[in-house]
Amino acid sequence: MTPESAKVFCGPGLAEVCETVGIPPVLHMGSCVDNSRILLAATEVVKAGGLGNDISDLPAAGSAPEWMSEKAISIGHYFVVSGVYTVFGVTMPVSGSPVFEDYLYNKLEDLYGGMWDLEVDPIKHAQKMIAHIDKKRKALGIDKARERVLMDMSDRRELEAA
Amino acid sequence: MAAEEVKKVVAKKVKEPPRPEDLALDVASQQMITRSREMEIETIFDRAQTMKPCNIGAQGTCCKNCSQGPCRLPLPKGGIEGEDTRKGLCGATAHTIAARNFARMVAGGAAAHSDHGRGVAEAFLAAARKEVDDYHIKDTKKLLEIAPDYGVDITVEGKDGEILDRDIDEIAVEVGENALAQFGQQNGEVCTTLRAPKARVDLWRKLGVMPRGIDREIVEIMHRTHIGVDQHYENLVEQCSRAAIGDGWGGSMIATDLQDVLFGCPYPVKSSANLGVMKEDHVNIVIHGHEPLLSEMIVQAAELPEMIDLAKKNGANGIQLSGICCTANELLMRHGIPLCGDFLQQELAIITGAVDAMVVDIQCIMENIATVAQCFHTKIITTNPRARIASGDTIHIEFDEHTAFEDAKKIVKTAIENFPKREKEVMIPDERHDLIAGFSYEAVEYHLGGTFRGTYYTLNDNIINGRIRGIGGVVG
Repeated sequence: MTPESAKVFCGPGLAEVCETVGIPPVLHMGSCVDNSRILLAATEVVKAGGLGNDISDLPAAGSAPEWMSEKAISIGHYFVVSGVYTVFGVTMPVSGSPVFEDYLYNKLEDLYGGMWDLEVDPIKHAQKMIAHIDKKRKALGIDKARERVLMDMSDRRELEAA
Repeated sequence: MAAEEVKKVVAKKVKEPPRPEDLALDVASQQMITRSREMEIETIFDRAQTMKPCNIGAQGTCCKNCSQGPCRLPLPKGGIEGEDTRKGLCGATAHTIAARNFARMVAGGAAAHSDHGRGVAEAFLAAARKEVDDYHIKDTKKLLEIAPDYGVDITVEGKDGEILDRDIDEIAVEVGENALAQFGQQNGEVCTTLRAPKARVDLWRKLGVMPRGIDREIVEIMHRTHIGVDQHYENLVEQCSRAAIGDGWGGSMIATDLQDVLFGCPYPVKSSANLGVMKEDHVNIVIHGHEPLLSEMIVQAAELPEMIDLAKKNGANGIQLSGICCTANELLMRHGIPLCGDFLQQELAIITGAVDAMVVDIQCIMENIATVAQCFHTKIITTNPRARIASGDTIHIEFDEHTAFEDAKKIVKTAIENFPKREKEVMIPDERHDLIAGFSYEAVEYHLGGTFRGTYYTLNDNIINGRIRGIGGVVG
């Protein structure tokens, strides 16, 4: 949660952006009612354009690795129905009903574009979030790295002719 | 078997308590767990060893919503092949029961957030109407930004058709009234939900899950999960969606909005965290709970010269405020007040022997802090009529928004006067970590483009070009 940590812990892409903008890679957004700030930030990202029309289109994922209270379940559910893939850690008190569990973890995606998941292992937990982000990048057609090419007028003419 | 051999077997079976380093990664917590054992004070770390979770409850398939049960429907170890014939006495299936229990958790969570939001809305309206002296409309920029979302005009047409700015107090009163109305509204849509992207609002309308009123959807969960009402797990989840949207895009969002207007929208601030933020030679007041209404006043009260003088008279070098749980975050991001600990550290903070008062309001306050405090001089001060503690020996100084500053002064004074009563040796772990907090979505927008080009474009562009893979939201 310090700007300096970006260079130590992040990949080169994120580290570069953090250094340029001057922000830490992990942004503290506040208390539990301030989860609403994440919803609004996600909405701003949608509005800024280029990443789909809805929160469910964004390459984004939610996580509560050490959730504890009923409040977390409410938060989890409003993230899911807002279109966010949301992974919880520790446990989920739904394992006694495989049908209901499947409804939360899989079927809800068809309705809301977001769904619940449970992963206790922190590494696998993160990998599941990354896999979802990659899935969304692919759907947006931004899964392959693209180099920025400086175009001059003759290149543009060629493009237009084609 | 001879008696001595039996003793040996028994002695072998008594398990050694786990090492503190196996219970917590954090060094400060390890040190305090060790100290708690030396002093024979029981904490959550000890109770977690003896209290094993109920297997059926953990699966979500225990139903105790009527007197015929509780009906327990555990899933057999090998799972179920073929038809699932498990049923409670009324015939409720495991799916219905798991969905009911899940729904009641959503109701509990949404109620907690939203009742917090209601409290803020009430204080906000009192401030807007100038019925209270201690709260004021501080962030007028944010007020003007949010007003249209609450259906409040910020301009008015003059006599000659010119557009004039409306009076800020008038706007504030209307925003407060409309915010408060969202809780008890019976029909229509909670106004702040319309801030979601259009595609999302359209989807919610299509699915019929737009919340009609914040409270109504929570009450309806309690109704539907009563015996013999909603016995379709998909239908129950649909009601969960209404209540949860009413929380995240309603009650919680209203709380955040109005807190920002009352106390200022957060912008990045440097601070530090962990038990080491407390100071041995200072009066340590730990503020624990969730609402910023009271804690904002305590911050002001602790800065008063008369309070600092009083602290010095009582032998301290000053007053050190720190926070636990969400109140900590509210103070951290608006004032840079350090974070003393998280939920699991609330007992450990007292075990340092340095806490002169722990002031609590609502949510996530462990009853056992009152018992731990009895081993020290620490005073536990409850402040909210909703949240009293029977254990231990707590003081109740009820906080009222009309007398907020006076209440806060009383609390700070109680802490200061308790400073000379420290009996046990103080042991504050030398652990604290720097951090930057306070990235409201407005602050993120500012950082990405400044006032010059305030937009999330920079983030989107870097996600599209692949420097940033995506966004992860982590909730504690």
